[in-house]
Amino acid sequence: MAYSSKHRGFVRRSLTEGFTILEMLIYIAILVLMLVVIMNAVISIVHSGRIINALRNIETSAMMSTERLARELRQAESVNIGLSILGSDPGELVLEGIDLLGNPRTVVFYLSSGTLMLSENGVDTGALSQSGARVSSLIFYPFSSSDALGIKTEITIESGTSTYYRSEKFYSSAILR
Amino acid sequence: MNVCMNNSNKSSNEGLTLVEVLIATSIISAFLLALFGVHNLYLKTALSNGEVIKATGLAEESLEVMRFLRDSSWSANIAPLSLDVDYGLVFDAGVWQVTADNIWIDDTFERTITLSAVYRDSSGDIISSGGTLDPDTLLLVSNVSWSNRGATTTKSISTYLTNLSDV
Repeated sequence: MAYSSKHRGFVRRSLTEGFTILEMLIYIAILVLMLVVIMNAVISIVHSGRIINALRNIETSAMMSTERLARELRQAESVNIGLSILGSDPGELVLEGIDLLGNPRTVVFYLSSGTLMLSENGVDTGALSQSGARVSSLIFYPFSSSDALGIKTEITIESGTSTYYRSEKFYSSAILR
Repeated sequence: MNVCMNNSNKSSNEGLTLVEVLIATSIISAFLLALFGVHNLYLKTALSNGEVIKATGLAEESLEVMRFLRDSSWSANIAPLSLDVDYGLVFDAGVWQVTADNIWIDDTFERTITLSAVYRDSSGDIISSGGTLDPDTLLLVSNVSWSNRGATTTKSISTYLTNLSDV
């Protein structure tokens, strides 16, 4: 079983001797170094993943909300000024129009505990903002002339907590056709 | 018991040498480094996405506002504007106004609109050069620029505005 020690370039040892302390130290150092690098990377990936998750919630909510608002505004006949809350936060927008069959159609955009909701003819059709996002401010500003009427929307959406908290403000305007 | 390996004269029981460990570690490191590079690129794109969405909203808004001004009065709102000049749009107390000043939104986005003349050929199609001037149609370009990591990014959309009231 005994092997004669042979020269291996770096350390001289026989099989029965095992590793020298120096070798062990070097290998452990390499292992620790690799672990530090990898753990750092994993931590930063998790960190940025959470930020991106918050941003994605915000962006999807913003796109859904502003797009739907613009579409509904364009096909509306009029804005019910009396029932709407214009120029202040939280805003509410009541649009009157007619559907494809010629029946009256009322669309309401309103905030319900941080979620932008849409209702058609008094029936809730669902949320426009994501469940992970909160609408912290929603203001509708009307602008009109004798021939045209439009609504400027300012919507601030936030998502995430503490370090991962993000808040973005989006603007959109649409006029009634 | 002893199995000879091809290109190193060591027995299979002896384990790895330092050089081998170093080579293996550096291969793994290079691989990880490449992965982080890709992840970094993904991060940059994902983080700048919000600005693109905001800018698109702002650009669309200015087209919508110009359409509103056209609907309100072509002669009062659109006709006095000079062609091929950058204008800003300001919203104040429920009124949209065209201004010659540079307008910054949220101190980040610079939004301008430009009107230019439209020429048509004999069959009435819009052509880029030559043809006859159509005084009742203008090309409207909306530009939104912002600074993204030292470089300026511009989002540009355009439409045609037609004078519907006085035709």
